[in-house]
Amino acid sequence: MVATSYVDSSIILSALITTDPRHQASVETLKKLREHGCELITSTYAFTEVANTTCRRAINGEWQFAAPLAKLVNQLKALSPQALCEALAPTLFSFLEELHGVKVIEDPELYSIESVDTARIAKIFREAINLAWVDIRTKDLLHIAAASLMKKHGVNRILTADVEDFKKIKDKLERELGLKVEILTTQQS
Amino acid sequence: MRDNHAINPDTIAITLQEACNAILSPLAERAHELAVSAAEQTRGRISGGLSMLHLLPPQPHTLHLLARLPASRVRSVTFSKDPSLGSYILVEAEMRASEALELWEKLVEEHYQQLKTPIFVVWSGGLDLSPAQLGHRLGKLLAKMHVSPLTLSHPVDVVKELKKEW
Repeated sequence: MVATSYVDSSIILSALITTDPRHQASVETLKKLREHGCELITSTYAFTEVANTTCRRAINGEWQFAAPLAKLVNQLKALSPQALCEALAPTLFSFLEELHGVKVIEDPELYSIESVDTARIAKIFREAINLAWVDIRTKDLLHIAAASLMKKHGVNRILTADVEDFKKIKDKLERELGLKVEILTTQQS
Repeated sequence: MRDNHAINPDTIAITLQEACNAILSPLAERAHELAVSAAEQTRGRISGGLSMLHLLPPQPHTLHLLARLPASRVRSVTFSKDPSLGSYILVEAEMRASEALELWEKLVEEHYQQLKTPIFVVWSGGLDLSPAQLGHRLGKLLAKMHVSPLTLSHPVDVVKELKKEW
């Protein structure tokens, strides 16, 4: 099976935002992995985080885009915030795949409903609950649960820029789950 | 017709000639020929729409690009610089979104490799395709030019931004 890396939302945004201090390191790492035959995937959960973070800031004017892109953003924003978000998400989606080779994949099995005693629960949440021993906040735990369930797609590594949360659990994930954790820092570039 | 904004074709010819004369490269002579030719081609159509022209990267390829534009439906072509993006070409077209995208795709396909300058097309007509279709094509176009859709003009720390979301 082809080695596959799960790219989390921090790396996706860092590869997209040219003024993030890790931008160059993220782009180069993604390129290097692809050159070594590694597949790059992310979950719809991670992509939702990226799309929501981006759309909210574009609508609120918190992020100022380079001049010609600002024209496009404002043109769509003038139509409606919905139009802007509906256009922005697929823009990011196709750009990521086309330039960085990161595929957003969805596996229906993650949402298959399982029974636990009398409760019924989606598989991804059951996995997250089972992985609570990892000791990390829910947001990041869901990424780990997604990556863990995607091992059947060859996922053996998580790429993240979140040093604060992932450094302390890196060894645990490698030892107990067989998931390598690569943390990109600003120093890498 | 926007005669109040129209530029005399002779002005364009002079602008192009001056710009091309400034190039210190073996291509200068050819660039000059093309400049004159571009100005001549534009002469009959200038009042139809091509009303503003700032020329920064005077290369023959730029002139080829200008000659390919449907002048009667182009409001302006601006060569400009952005601190985060560098040089770029902005075409403002009097078209619907789908036509502008077609033009944009054609310009990128035919000229980006030679120009190495990102090209953008904005439109004044309506959005006649779904935002999702627009976004999908836009992402591909930007990827071809290696221009991130999130090219921002200020520093952002993505880890901090994501933590604000939770």
